[in-house]
Amino acid sequence: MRRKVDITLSTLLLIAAASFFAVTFTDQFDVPTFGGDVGPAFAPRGYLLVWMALAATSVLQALRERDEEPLEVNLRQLVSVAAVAGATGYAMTVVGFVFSTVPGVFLFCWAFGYRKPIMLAVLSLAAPLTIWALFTYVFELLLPRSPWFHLI
Amino acid sequence: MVHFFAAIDQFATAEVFASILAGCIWGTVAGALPGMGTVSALIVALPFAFGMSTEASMALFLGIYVTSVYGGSISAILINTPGTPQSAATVFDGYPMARAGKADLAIGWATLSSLVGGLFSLVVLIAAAPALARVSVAFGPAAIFALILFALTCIAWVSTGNTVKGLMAGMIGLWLTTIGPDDLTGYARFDFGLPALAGGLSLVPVLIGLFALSEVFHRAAFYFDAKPPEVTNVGFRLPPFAEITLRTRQFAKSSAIGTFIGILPGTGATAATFISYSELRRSSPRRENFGKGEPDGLIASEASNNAVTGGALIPTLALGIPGDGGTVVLLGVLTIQGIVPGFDLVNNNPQILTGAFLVILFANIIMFGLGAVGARLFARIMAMPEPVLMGMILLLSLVGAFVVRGNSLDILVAVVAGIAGVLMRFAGYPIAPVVIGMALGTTFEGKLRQGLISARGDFWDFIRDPIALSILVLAAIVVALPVIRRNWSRTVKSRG
Repeated sequence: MRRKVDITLSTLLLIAAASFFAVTFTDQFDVPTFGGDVGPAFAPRGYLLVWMALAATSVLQALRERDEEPLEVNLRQLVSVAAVAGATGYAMTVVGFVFSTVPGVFLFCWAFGYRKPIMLAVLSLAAPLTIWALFTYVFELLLPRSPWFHLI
Repeated sequence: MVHFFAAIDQFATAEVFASILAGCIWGTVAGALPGMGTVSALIVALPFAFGMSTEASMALFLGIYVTSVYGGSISAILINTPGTPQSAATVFDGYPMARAGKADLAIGWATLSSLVGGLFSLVVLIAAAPALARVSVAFGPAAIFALILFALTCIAWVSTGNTVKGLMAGMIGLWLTTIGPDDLTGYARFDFGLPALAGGLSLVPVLIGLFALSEVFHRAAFYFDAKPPEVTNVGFRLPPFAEITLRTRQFAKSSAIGTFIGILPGTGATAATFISYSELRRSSPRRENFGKGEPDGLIASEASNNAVTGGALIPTLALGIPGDGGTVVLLGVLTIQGIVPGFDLVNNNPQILTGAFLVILFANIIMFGLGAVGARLFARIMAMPEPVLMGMILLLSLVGAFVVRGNSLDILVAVVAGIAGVLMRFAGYPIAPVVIGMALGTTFEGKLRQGLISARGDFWDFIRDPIALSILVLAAIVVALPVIRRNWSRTVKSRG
């Protein structure tokens, strides 16, 4: 599995670097320079050139590698946990911290394999509310808010 | 002496003491929890830095930084699983000692060794950091550019796994700093017309995603059952005084190795631990007992990994150049509090620097106390269900990503970085070079262009600067040395 991920990721990184490198030749980077300055395109071009060379080397190295013993990966759990984390993060920007994290923590721990619903319900209520109260009233820093309430 | 009293005046508050204690307890607990590690422990506490005073936040984070490395030894000894990679070598002699019914003594040796290593490196830090910061005034843009190049070369070169991938990760980190407005001209770069990217990426959400969230996702991929680890023979027993004095040489050697390796960017405590362990296994008069519960093995691992903390803080505080993920977070905390490491810290805020030394001293002493009274409690916490722990990390990571700028986009940046991080882990890419590249990228490019402007575009001016030239030569040696060594051994082999 690692070899396949390595080949895929290294190839994607090579394509990404080449695309970003092409962007440095667009009008956005065509900026007049002065007094010996090399301009805003110089550093990114340098980084991207090295990045491309290294990514190409990495692809070749990955292709030459032998396949290792297959890893026992809980792929379904990984995908569901990442999806819940992503959805919680996105929901936080739309419905605020409290309304997103209370169900988010519950679903996350459930997706991770925790199967004690009562304990989980208490925890997923207590933890986000404690953090929200701590930040709102003690640190006086507002966390993302819902469109419906002033502080929550 | 004036700074010492000023620091006492500024730091001797109930808030600071409470923060050191909280930092030390959290650091030890997080270190003991397998998979948490120093960086995750620091990241989880990051949101709190925004609501605290400068002194209290330094106390909290230095407390976590110092004690999290030690915490890893508890799980290494009790359940044969190092809580942090830095404690991997502790398993070799700590676990056999625990199995022989002497877990309390093993924790005693580990705690004492951590204290000795921590205090040794603190003395070096106190002596070296202000001196190095004063010397750094002579560093012009060319020298700083060369210094960062050297740091990045070292970091990538010693990256766990593959050097090519380490270098590439560093390049990705440098490139990420070019998103957003160019500092010299103000023109936007790589924003793709998206207003959200026009301001550039903040380091903290990327750091949170790459370290904390990717760790959460990675653990989800390998989590199959919910059985808590079996923990037995817990307690604390200090070794006899005669046994301690017999091993003075081993304490000194391991502490010195840890401090020196800590100073080098990118090497970190894991490398220090294994170098120290192999050196003591070679030189100890009790070397035949290594791997069977020999205290020298515990000293080798624990004195060196804790000594790295002081060593790694030397370039961080004196030059503003972090050597690993942990010091990147510490640098981020200093930046949040408006403190600029280096000459400014030493000359304009000497009481803050002295205060940091005092905090590290207290953190080491508290760490010893916690080991003595809390080993049994920490062992119980290790039995906490992993999904619950990971849920809390997710929650605090999302909060941490948001509070840096109050920007909702940063939450999504952290999640995307988390997914990228887990893919990088699967493909064998090291993560630390990305964040170090990101932490240094803006200065790196800025100094290069400043240097070129002052030299009217003449690249050779960089080589005419003696400090820059020496550092560039050093960087070239770091790159060339392994190749030369490989060719040399091939030649020797072919000659028979």
